[in-house]
Amino acid sequence: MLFNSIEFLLFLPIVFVLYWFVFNKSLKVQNSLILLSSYFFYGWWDYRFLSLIFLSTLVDYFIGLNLPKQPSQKRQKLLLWCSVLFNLSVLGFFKYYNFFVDSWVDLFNSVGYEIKSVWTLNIILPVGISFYTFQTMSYTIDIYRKKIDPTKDFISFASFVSFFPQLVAGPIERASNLLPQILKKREFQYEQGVQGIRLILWGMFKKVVIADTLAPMVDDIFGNYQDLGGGTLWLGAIYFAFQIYCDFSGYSDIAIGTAKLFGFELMSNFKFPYFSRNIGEFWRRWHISLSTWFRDYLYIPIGGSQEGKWKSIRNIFIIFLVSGFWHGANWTFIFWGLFHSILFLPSFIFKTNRKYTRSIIAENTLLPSPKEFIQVITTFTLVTIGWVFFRSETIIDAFSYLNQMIFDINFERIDLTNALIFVLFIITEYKIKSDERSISFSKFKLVNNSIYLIIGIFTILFFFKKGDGSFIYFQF
Amino acid sequence: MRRFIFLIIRYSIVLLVLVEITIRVFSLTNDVPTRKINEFGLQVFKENQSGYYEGFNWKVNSDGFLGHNDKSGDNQILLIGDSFVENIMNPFSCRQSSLFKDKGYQVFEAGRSGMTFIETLEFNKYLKPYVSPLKSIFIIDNIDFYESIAEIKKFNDRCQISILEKNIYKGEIKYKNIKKILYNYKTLYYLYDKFRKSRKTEQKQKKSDEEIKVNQNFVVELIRFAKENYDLNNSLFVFRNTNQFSQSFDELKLKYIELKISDQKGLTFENDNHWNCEGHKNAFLQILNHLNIQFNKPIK
Repeated sequence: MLFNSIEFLLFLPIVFVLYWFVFNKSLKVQNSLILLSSYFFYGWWDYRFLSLIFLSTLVDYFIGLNLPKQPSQKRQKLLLWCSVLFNLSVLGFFKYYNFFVDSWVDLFNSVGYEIKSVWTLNIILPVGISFYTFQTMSYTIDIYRKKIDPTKDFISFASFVSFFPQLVAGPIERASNLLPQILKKREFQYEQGVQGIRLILWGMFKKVVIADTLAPMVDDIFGNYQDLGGGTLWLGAIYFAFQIYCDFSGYSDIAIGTAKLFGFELMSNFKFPYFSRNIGEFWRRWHISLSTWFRDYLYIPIGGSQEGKWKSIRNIFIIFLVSGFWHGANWTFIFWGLFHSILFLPSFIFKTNRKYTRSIIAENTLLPSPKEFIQVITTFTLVTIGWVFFRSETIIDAFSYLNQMIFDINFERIDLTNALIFVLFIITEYKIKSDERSISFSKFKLVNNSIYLIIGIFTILFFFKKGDGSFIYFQF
Repeated sequence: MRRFIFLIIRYSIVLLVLVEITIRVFSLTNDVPTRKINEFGLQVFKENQSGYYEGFNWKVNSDGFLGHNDKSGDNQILLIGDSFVENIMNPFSCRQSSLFKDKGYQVFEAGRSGMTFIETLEFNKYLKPYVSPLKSIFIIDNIDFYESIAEIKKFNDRCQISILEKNIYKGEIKYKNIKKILYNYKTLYYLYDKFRKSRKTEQKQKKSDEEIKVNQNFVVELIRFAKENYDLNNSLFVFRNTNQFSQSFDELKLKYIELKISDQKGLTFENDNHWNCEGHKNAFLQILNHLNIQFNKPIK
């Protein structure tokens, strides 16, 4: 079920009413409703893959339960590897099997051995598989690390794995954050509910008004880039930068907002990444739940930055390449990861990558300083160049696009019809940049409410569009 | 919780009112003319309504149609057809009746979307004494034959014939009250219209060869019925595409022409197979060319 669909607009209030008014007597019943609703939500897309979620839940539930009972560290490690291998195998089969087969075939063909790709299978990628497998893996790893205790309550654990607001595209939750909330009785809080509605509205606006408006233009430019001038290609890349940001952060906002309506606090996934002053800051603000997942469960275990400069550099390359590969079985994503690791390295070497960990641009002023402005523009430009790899069909397309974008200086026939809406959007984002969770446009209630009404009007007017309207990150 | 629900209801009401105002002020949705059943049991538009459609204003005349309604002129023509003749999506100057009038003809234009072949004949039958045309021109397509026959697929809201019973069903106006709400509450219609357009058209079920043959036999029977039961002298059937039943038409000596428009670029709307202004002009010239040859009418 898509958030931006009639089905969800009916589903959400029904579950909300059942949750707070009918199933509110006992925590177990309330959690059972979450589980049922989540399976219904997922099954609406394809009920066959519910068995996969259930299997993943079952495996990690029993491994989690038995892990602390093992007599030795060695046995615990073995059990943990069972969980990791199971999850990665499921993910590997559905997401990467064909990629590996094709890559091997290409490799053999390139060295003169003509073989045909007869092993590729017609595999459907289950929506959200990359998200929920990472979520369940973090559960068993955290138990192994003794960060959390396993839960005996299967319903609660299954609800944690399949919690519908974030099931198909994150944020990738940690058991240490979400599971205790599921195990505890929830009370409805007015402020939390209002914040939830605001986030849902703002997320819907970003998705249906900005991202879906840009989608056909981006498709058109990337689909016909050979015939277009450099100016238009820049515009296409910038449009895609906003499309993917509004699409994905819009989804996250709706997910966080929906969870709030049910009394849950999910982790932030985006913190206005295009206002970052360097690549390090960008990665602390973009897809936070994934980058922190890789930091905690990959980067630190392989040594992080604690084992000398060269090993640290190697680790940075690994984490960015894996992060790229997580997005999809295509060389374009791997190059995207590689590109970002190259962008990140200078700031790592010169130790500026952790320069802006707490502050934001123009923290106490209306406008950013000239230095900040240049930093933001430079970071955005580099990130936008990276998006060309991410969006292109093949790596050859990506390089041809970039070649034309940079060397074909031609600003004729640029269509700036939609520029105004982006300028307004950027100004609005700039205004709310200090807090991504409360979405407050002004300290004056009347101004705030008026803006919410304008956002609501635009969202309704743009609601139905041609095309399937699905979120970009569903394919990952 | 009560406070929260009250807030949501209040916000929703204010929001919906503002959306309704926005849609009306900026004409973001089309006005759809309401229909009625006339004294002959056929569906026409309620007289003297006016509205807006895709940038153009429309007005229903005193006879329940959108075009010209001349009667009993020297060069009187009766033009009948479905949405291609109704032509709500183009300016008035691009109507077939306007184009004919520019060439000195008097035209009564009876166009309404969803009109089946049998319904065009019914309209012709009832309008002829009233309009006294020298020529009746039917702008049709092969699909109109199939949609006329109840045995192929029953449509309660369309005029159809049962070929086996030789019985004509005039068709009723479906969901009258729901349509009234939908057409008056613009937000609802706006969302409904966008929702409809956003969904992909369902794949039509492929019919078996035997089924196709049975249906074609029904159509041949329908054409024969038309010849026997309706006065089709001085009638011209204008096919928007190739006439699949040309053999029957030739055998029964029914006059027809086939337009060559669908294979030309720029004559239809981008996301719609209806003719745009250029398409109408092109169709008109082809019909006019034929009229000049066949009927040798003087052009003023």
